Amino acid sequence: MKRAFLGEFEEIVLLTVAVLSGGGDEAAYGVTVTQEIEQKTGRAVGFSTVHTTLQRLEEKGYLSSQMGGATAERGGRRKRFFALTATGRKALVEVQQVRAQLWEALPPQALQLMGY
Amino acid sequence: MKPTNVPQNANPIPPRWATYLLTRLGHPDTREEVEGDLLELYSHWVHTLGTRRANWRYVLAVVGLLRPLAKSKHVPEYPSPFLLSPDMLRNYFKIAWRNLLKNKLYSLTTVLGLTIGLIACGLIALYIYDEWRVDRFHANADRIYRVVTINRSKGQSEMAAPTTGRPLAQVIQREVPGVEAVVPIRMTKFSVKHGNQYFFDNQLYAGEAFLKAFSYRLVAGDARTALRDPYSLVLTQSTAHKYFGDSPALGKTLQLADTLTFTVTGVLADPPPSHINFDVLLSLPTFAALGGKMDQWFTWDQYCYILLDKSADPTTVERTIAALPMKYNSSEYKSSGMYVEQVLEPLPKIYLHSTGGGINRPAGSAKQLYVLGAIGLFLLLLAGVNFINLTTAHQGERAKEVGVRKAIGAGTSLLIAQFIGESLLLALLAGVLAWGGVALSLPFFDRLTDKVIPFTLLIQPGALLASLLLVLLIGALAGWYPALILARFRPVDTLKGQVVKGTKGAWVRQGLVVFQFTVSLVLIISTLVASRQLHFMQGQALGFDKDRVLVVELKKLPWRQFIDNYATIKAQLIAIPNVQAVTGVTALPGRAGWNGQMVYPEGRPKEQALSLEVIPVDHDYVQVLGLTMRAGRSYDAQLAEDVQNGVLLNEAACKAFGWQPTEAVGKKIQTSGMNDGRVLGVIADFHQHGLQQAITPMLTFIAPYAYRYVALRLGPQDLSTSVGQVGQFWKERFPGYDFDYFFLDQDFNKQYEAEQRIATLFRGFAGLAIAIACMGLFALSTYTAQQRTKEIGVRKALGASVANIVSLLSKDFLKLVLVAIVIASPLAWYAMHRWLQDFAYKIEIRWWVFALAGGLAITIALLTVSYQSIRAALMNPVKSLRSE
Repeated sequence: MKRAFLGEFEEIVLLTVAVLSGGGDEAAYGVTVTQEIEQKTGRAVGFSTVHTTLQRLEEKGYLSSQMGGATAERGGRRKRFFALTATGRKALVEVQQVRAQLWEALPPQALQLMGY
Repeated sequence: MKPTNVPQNANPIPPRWATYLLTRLGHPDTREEVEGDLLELYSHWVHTLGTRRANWRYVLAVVGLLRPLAKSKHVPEYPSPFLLSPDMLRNYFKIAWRNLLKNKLYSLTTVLGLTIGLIACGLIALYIYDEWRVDRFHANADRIYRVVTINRSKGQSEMAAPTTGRPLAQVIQREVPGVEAVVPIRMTKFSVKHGNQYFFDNQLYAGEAFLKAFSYRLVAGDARTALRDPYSLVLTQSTAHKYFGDSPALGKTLQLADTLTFTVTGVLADPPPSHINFDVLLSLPTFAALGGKMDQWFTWDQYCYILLDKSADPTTVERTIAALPMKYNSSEYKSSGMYVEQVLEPLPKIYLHSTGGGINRPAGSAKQLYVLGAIGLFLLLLAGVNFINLTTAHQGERAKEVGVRKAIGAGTSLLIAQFIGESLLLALLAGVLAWGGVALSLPFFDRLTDKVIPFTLLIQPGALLASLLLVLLIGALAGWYPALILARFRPVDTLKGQVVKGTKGAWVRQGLVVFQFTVSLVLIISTLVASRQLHFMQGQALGFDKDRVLVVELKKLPWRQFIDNYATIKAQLIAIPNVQAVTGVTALPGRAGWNGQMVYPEGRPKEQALSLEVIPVDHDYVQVLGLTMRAGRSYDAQLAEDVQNGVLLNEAACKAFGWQPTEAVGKKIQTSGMNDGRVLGVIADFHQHGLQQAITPMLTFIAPYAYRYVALRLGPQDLSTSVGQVGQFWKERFPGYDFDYFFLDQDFNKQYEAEQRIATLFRGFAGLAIAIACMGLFALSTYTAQQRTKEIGVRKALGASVANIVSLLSKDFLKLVLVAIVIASPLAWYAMHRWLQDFAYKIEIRWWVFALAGGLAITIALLTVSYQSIRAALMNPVKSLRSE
């Protein structure tokens, strides 16, 4: 099976979508994802970057999207809602597992050196 | 810079240019959500960061999102068809064809209306072109001028003659700088004897430079020498063929006036149309050789054309030439109270603009061409308008098609293109039909206008191309408006089956109908006025009895032989039964006598001589024409001195001299050809010319040498028997010669041919206009009836009668026609008032003419509308309301 490869920012975006869409079907779209990342990471993220990443993730098959939910604020334009696909979920889990394995393999002295 | 503040409105607007960039250059697949997201973010930023930074971030985001080269990866489930693919094109043609067949009446009226308009327009265009091209073939046309004579006296100047004094040509040649060539031209009328017959061609004496200045093509002979020597002549090709058949004419001789032998020194290709019309050119030196005097300034009988140098300034040359008459002949002119100058007329303008007329050809009239052109244009407009009306009226039937096409992806511009294309096709069809129609009707048109328009004009590539462009232009213009309306239909409405309401364009259609009827009415009124004037002129008492007068032309007889034996011939003629009186005469009513003869009456200083029309006659002139004597007596055959010095005047002449008719009798009078005339009597005024002209002063004396006709008054017995007997006598008396005769009344009425022609033309055009207008009205009534189907159904269900509904539907159209009447009446009145100014004796334009034309228009309109309105009114309301 092909191993999932996720870039750091991709991982963050994917996670954010996962977090947001946990709160309901129609919660993760360009604006909310951008704002959430800004809030949680504290870094100023450009919308264009987020948008491009979302597109790329959808192309890779980790995200699916559907249109809907036009509001007056948006000039009557619809939103593109994102949701994790099964592959996306698996990729996230895989990434997490890899990390967990690495953490476990870490000798306790090293942890102490790091101040834990 | 403004401080950042939270804007009042809930939807702050980001920089437009950035939004525009995004729309144009963003990725097409994600455009919608990206635009929306950015808007949402922008308003968030405005609230949290302020407008300036929000703008900054917005722009930054936009720049990051520009994908100028991106193409949509989206493959739609139902791809929008490529609408210019061969399949679609075939579909367009198929649909257009089916639509034509489906509604035959509609297609027929549309195409036919346009065809009729185009035919009329084409014929008029041909006519105008044929008039316009006169004289345009001369390569030097812009440097050739005609010298005409004007008389500047009593503070006003008027053209005295299109000709000049005889010595002028030589003087110009000798002393005016800047003139390359001078071409004197004289009219002449020698008989040409060929076999045992006399021929009368249009002959001109032409100066040597004629063939150099004008661009006539010589097929035989030498252009430089052809007109140099006396007794040489140049023939046109067809004249040469007439005399010599197929054998070469060059060097052959012709016998003119029985005594003069001319040698053919050149043959010209048949000349293109020119205001100078001729069959034979005689060399001008012949005129001098025959004893013609060339030193008479005060004999204006010679045309003079000049060709200027390329560098010469026409105004300078004109100024020099203008002064010549008074320089060389001032005493003679001044003693007649005249101040004579010359003016130059540019060659291309002579035919249409000069009052001087052409040579052997009546002048054209620019005014007439403008009027005709306007009529042609109006007819074309009418047809175009009709086209628009008919198409819009039937657009309801195409609504579903538009709906379906739009639903499967046709855009507005493509639909417009489709419908304009259809109208182009129709226009093209009409154009082809019209071309055939013009070709077929050309002979009739020729007869109507008394022209010979060559068929080759129709197949010139230029003409074909121009008409093709015109037709396409009409198609495009006429198709534009209906196409626009059709293409704007909303597919949802049309597919739901809602009747498409065209109230928005109602005023356009109504305006078009008003326009059509205005044009038709103007033409109808003009026709009525013109035919009434014609009727008036033909019915007016003329002052002479024009019926039963047989006139024999003398010009084709051996003239000498006739004059020498005049008395015997006259006696023999009068012996024929049923011949009551016989007179030789120079000009009968309807023909011109000797115009502009100077007459010197007794008791009047010589400088105040008057110019009169002089008509040499015979003793029985008054009897033959049935004239009335106002005072004195007519000629008496018993009194020899009547032949010597007897003069008759008409009342107008007495008035011009300031005499009462009774006191005129016995007065002395002098004119050229009558040195000591004495007035015998005064003839009551009669119309020597048509009623276009006022009765002019005239004078008669007896002069057999000047006779051109013999007129016979016939008694009440059968005319054809008498004609047969006279003809019999003629053939015995002059064996081998033609017996040329006509009846006075017919000949006199020929003067009204121009008016007759105008009346016929107008009648034709008025008919066309009204036909086209009716088609338009018919279409509009169809349309309205369709629109109001449900209303009519409800009205009928509630108890309205058929009459009620018919009047309801007709009322609207009546209003339009009434508006048209109001607009058309003053226009037509003005136009016809101007036209009538050309007549000395004219009718008044009465109110009932307008009433009649209006009534006619209303009747025709009502008849047209009634078909549709009655049909609508008779419809079963159940049918129209069923679907509700």
